[in-house]
Amino acid sequence: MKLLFWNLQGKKPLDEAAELIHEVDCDIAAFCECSDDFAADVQVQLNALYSKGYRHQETPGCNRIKVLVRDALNSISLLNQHKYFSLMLLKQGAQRLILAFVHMPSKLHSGEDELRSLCEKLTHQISAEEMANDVQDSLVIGDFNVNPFESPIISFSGLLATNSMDCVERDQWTRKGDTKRVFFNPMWSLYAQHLHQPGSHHYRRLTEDVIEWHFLDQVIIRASLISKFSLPDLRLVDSTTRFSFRKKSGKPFVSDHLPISCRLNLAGGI
Amino acid sequence: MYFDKTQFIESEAEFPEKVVGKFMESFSIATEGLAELRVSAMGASDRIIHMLGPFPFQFDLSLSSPYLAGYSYEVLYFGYDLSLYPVTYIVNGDIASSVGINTNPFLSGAKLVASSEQDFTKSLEEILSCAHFRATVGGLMKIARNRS
Repeated sequence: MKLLFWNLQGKKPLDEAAELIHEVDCDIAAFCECSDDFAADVQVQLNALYSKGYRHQETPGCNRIKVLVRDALNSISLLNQHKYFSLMLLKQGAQRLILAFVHMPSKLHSGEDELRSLCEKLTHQISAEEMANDVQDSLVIGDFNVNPFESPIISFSGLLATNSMDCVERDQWTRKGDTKRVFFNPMWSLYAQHLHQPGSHHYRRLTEDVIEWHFLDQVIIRASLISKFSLPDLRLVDSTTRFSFRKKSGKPFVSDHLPISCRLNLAGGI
Repeated sequence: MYFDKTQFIESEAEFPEKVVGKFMESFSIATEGLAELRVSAMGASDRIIHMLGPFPFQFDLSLSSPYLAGYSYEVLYFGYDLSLYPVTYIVNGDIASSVGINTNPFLSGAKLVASSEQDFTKSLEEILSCAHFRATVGGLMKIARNRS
């Protein structure tokens, strides 16, 4: 199963988005900073130009994220919907997976502690849904608006997303009597692939720090999914046949974020 | 000291969860049974996460649908102590914004206090009739009808 996420920055690159979905050949495409009308237009374009059937999976209660699902993938149901995240349950044969699509608030409007608090709510909700639905495997994809090394992502009171695959052997951490399951963050592997411009988004915060490239768009997974997650297929999408998503300088073009895609090898062939 | 029956008067105020409950039946009828409002007692971990306060009685009010088994959308959390009122509640951020109330980003919503049953009822009427809530219910009804 292939997933795609792209923060569109409020723009409407219809041809680019349709070609991107077609070429990535994703089963699920999620956009943020995107209108319902645009998502519907992409759906029509995919059908008209590429004869590909996708439907708009509406997420009542979560307006910040728009999700297109391949028609053949008919076993998705809605779980908790929140201003900043949308949770869904995917069933495919014996495989049951929780998918979380996120678009956290910008650091321009929220402090790191506020983002950490939101990440804590997200973790809590995912754990509750895992328990309610008897699911072990969860994947979170979206614009977290923080880097993989920042507190909301790595802290115990945040998402608890580690950079160590050793979490396969120990996927629970206990601190002060509270036990949580960790996430694995495969985004760290992309730092090695993008040595000069490590990030999906370029932003120079003149007063805060000297970091210019940010991996705000991320995928994190439960340790139980590591064996099914294809690391080589985790990538920033720089271009399609007709369109480049970077300027000559390497900075994102079309939107100020680059699209990100990943693949899970699930039983049943999706 | 001697106690007699005139010293203690049982509260006549309605439990806040029953005040909320008064809206639930007509809501279900208004949405043709496609959407429901649900009140649930909050567990220990929910209480920590949602930071309502040290109230012994805490509940959440969420939107759900009998046709979408796992769907939920938190409308508000509320809590109170033995005096029943005031009731303290945190309203969903989008709904609070729609009503015109400033939100606290730490809470993902707006924390409010209703001093009486009447105040709580009035506030609930405002919350459950705001544009954002109505749009969310409308979207849910559309999906639920497709599944019914």
